[in-house]
Amino acid sequence: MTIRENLRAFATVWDIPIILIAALGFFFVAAYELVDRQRILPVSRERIVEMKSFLDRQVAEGRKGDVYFLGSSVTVEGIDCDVINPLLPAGRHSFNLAWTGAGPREWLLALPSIQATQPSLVVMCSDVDTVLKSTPIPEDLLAIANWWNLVPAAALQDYRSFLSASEIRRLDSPKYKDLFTFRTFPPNTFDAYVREVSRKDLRYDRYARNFTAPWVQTRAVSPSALQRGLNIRERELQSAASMKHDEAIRVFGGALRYLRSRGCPVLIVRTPINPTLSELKKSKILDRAGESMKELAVQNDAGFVDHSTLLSAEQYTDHVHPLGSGRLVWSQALAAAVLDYLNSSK
Amino acid sequence: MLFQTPEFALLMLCVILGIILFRTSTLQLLLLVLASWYFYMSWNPVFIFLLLLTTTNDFVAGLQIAKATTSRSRTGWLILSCCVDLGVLGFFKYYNFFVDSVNQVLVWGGGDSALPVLNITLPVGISFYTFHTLGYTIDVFRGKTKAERSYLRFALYVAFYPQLVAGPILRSAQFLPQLQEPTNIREDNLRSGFHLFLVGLVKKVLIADHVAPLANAVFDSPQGMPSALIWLGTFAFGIQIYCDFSGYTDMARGAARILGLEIPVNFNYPYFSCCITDFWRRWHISLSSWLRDYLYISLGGNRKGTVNTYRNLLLTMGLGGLWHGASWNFVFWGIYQGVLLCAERLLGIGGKTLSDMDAAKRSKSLIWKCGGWFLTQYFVFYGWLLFRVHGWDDIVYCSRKYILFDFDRHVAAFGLGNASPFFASAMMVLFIVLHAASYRVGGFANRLDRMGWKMRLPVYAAAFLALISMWPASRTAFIYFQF
Repeated sequence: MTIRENLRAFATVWDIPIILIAALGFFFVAAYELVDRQRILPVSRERIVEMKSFLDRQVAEGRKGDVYFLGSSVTVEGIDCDVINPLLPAGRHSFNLAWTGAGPREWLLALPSIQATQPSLVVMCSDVDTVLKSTPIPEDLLAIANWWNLVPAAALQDYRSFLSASEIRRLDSPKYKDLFTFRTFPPNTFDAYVREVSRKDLRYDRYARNFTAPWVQTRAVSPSALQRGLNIRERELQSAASMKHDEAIRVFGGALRYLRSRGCPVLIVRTPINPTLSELKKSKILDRAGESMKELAVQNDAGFVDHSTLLSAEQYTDHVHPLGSGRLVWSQALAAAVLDYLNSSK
Repeated sequence: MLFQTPEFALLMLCVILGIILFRTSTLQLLLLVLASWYFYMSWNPVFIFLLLLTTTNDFVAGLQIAKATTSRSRTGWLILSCCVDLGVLGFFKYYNFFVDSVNQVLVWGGGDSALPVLNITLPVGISFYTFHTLGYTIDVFRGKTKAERSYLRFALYVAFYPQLVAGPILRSAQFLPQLQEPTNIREDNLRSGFHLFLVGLVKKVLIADHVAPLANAVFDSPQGMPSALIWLGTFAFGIQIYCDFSGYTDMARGAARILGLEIPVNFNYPYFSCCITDFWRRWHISLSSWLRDYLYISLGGNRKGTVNTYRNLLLTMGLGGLWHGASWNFVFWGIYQGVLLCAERLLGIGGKTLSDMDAAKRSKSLIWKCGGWFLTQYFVFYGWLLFRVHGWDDIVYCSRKYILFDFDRHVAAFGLGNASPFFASAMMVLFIVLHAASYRVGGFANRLDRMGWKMRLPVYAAAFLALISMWPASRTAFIYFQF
């Protein structure tokens, strides 16, 4: 065969690249329509977009002086603002802005919007993962932050010293990249939806839009699941040296300084720790981490409260998350701590 | 450089254009060899020297065996060549495994661990290209193939990039004759190669990569999990490894066909097999036939009495297991397969040809057939559990839960949430439906080849859309790359 005949054969498959380009184009339009317009996101991600809208509304309506709780799933499941609000001074409300998997790195994405509302107090709830781990912000979360402008350019400058270069780059990248990242949302939305309807032990209660008492587990996990969780946690504690504790504290300090430098009062709360977890070998590192938090609070003129021994083992659903009964006790204790801090800072 | 990356697409495009422009066999061979070496160096450039060593060793050995006039000299060259090949493989793949095992025995005996563990990186694809070259030299020795006189041709046989890192294991008699004439880019090859590649990509990206997190979530820390989750994880891994490996093979065959070269089929619907013997005729065909031809038959096969036949089966499958990786669980897996094959032989199920099996099966009732299929798959999937789980305690725990089903319905809060278990399960169901449909139509790629363009376009569009929208968030290497 000659070069011309070979080239002719190559040219006969023109339909393949054309259909590929058409499919790519269709995908981008569909991703925009489904995610941006229809808000088809997994609930854990939809919550972040809704949080941004909620905080923007707070600013637009001129609502100032509220109390915001930041944290991970321990805070999501452990704080009921309906218990706290009646105990706060008149006209002040508290809101649970925690979300599953959130640590100080992820909080950075929400801080500019929170700070814009001029809160009377931001409560940073520090649990076991917050002080021991510092994993990069997930790609889909960075895409959401970029697409919905969670981090304005000025804040991004401040974050350069806490976040990695790749995270900063991603938060400053062209938006088509976000659309391509959104491809993971429909499958994860499906998964989250089936999980929600198939598990009777959870109460999501409009998780994405509920900033009062978003989610509670109504019964404890099975003994084998509890034991497995403890085993995994024990392994993590044994390798705690490699878990970037220092990095976690550094980012936590960065988030704290960001708020304090803008005049936001901050209260650091060490969340309840299941006694079965405290009994593990190597759990002393948790106390050391608590000490680091306390030092950070002193250095930055923030409050510090230790609730690590507040609950008994029966008040947990598993090795870390509080049950409904634990949530009530912790919420009451938090209300007292918040009130105490607000009164003392007057 | 993974097949599902833009870098590989670019390499393919460059090679296709090169083949079109270079109209002599030598130039095309040079292009393909350089592309293959570049492909290999994209993992770790240093290991190209190992590839060159193995290639040169067997090229020279082949020529010397062909030239040798005495049987002693021929045998000497064969042994030398095998020693070099297996020495390299043994050092890079099995040295630390051997040292670890000896040290453990010493510690159990009350001594200290004496032998030093080295920081060795496993060269990608070493098991595959070592078997290529070993097979070639043995074939030359046996007189089944002629010694190759062109170094370029031989280097391409060893390093041809679509199959370099995970097979199929090529036979010289199949591949070398294809390199005698210049290759061409033909329309039918282009399209049918693309169809094979597309089917492989769908298997890998749509199924394997979405099911893998579930299998990982179960088996990375299985202690405490109820039987239902161990079964789910085993099922997920069985589907993952099939879609991952057969997907790779389809892509490799597709890429080769686009370039005008054929490499052999490696899978033939193994999950439809009704006995273990049949399974091994359908799973990783190039390895099982290699083991049969170069190891089992060399050991005496079934020609030296019943006891020796069973010994040979166990040895062959045990070594086949060890070939997969330097870990005891692979050895257990291999021996387990050997025991199953021996049991079938003892019961008179194994040893029949596929057509005998089919004829026999036709005469049996539907229930009997379903029972045979279910039992086979039960044992096959238990094998996957042995293959996937590492650590003695985890193997014992998972085996107990797999064999003695506990009917524990508490499956929540075991940390599977991040693995999207429901979506992964949906993908497993999709696999079952597509796999059954593919079996029925004789393979989707073949079916696509026969379709008119009006039917083909919507299929392309659907496949592209599915691939784009389900493209995994992170690049996942193929499982067999680690072997």
